[in-house]
Amino acid sequence: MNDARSTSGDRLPPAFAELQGFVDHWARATTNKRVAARSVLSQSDIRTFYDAMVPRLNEAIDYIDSVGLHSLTPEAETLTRLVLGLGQASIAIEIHGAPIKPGTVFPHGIHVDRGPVPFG
Amino acid sequence: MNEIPAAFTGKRGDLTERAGLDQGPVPLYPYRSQAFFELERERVFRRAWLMVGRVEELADAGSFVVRQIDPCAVSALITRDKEGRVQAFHNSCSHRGSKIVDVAQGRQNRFVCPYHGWTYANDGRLANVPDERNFFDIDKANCGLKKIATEVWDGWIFVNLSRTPEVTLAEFLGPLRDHLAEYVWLGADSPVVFTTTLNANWKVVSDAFIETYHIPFIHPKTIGPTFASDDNPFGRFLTAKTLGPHGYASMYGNGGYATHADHHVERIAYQSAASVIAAAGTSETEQFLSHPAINPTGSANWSMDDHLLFPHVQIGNGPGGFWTHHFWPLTVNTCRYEGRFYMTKAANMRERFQQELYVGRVIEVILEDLKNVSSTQAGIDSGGQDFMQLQDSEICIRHNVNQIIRWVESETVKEALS
Repeated sequence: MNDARSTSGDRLPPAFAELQGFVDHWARATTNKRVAARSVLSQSDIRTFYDAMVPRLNEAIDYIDSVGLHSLTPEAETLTRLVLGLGQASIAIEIHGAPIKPGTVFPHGIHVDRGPVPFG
Repeated sequence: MNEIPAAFTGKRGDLTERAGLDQGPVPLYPYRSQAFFELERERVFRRAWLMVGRVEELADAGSFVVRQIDPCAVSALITRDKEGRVQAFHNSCSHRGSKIVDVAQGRQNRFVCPYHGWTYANDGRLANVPDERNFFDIDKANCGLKKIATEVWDGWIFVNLSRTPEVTLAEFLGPLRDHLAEYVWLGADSPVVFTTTLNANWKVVSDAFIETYHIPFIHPKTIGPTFASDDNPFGRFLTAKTLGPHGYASMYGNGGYATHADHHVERIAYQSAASVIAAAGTSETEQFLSHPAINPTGSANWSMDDHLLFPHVQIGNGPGGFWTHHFWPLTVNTCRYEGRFYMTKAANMRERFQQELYVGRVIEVILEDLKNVSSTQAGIDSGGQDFMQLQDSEICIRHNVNQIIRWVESETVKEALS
């Protein structure tokens, strides 16, 4: 999971390089894909990502805002998608205590036709 | 104000009584009868004004959207022409009836039927017929797209499938117009849209969104802690009123809710906002919140209001903005849900991250309801019960079913509205 290589080629800003191993799975471009990313992992894999991201969250948000959410560099864009992935991870950790709501199945049929901008 | 119940745990509230509604059991046949469903399609969905979207979706001349009016199997092509007029048409060619537009939205001034190339202007006029000389003097002026009655109120687009609607939109909306007059439609140009198909009668789903009695049971972790508290453990309403066939309810919120210390992400995301059901705040939020229809009792323990737009739409609002729920009947025991959560475009990552958590939580809440409504429908379909026992804070369910039955039984819309 926390392998430093990335098959997508998406790079994080150097200051966040230690999070590179999470990019392929979590830095997705849409809400539907981030929901899926969380829903198919084990709780311990989600926890690993969550624990690595939380201490850097405020810093990451500040970095993205220093670049500008609507004028992102490629590296800041990757970081933005990764931070949004943490939003989904937090649902497993902070709400359900499980990757998906106990007693439900995934895929669940709820589709986001249009999400917030950007990367909705 | 005198509408706040003295306590939320003591004697029964009086919302139902004040609204002049009866208090007996409510029949379940409207939720499972095929015969009732057919009447509902004809007498409710073909006669009522149906809200299908907002004008911001048709921002420029040439913009169009296509909306499926499922219960009547109508595809509505809604356009804005160069004069700025918003008009809905049947998405069906005058040549041999074929569907013309096959995308959900876009921008174009002309629509070409893919079957034989008949071409229409976006004001509905028939502009071109290939090999017209081989036809028998067709009356092109009468072969435009067939209009669907369309009216706009405060940015909301309504259609009516009656050839000649019996009442105007203003008459249909009645007191709801005054209730929502001058409402600030915050973020109206940028909705987040969710859709899903559910194994339940559309009213089972609609009912799940107009009572908070279920929240501690169905949503204990997602929103339970924000809607109920020791003072109001079963989420009784702050107030509710009927407005003609429409109505509203104002819902309790746990003013003492605090984010759990271990919920690091929620704490960071919402450090500048008051509620987990709010999207990002803006300078317009204060103006939005000052409207008398929002938190109408002025309660410190308020979460949201739900405005019932008969027959199948709810317009909700919380501290950070508004949303709509559409419950479109498909069959007697299936429906299509469409949620539109309007939020101002995020100016920065802090706002965007908060929106991500908000949207993520909304999906989980819908998922919890989705699971529950199919088992509710299965129980209703079993025939084991013929009636529902509704409590005072389920007034909106009672009112909505009463009104649906009334429309089904009324020969005319005027009679249904009288």
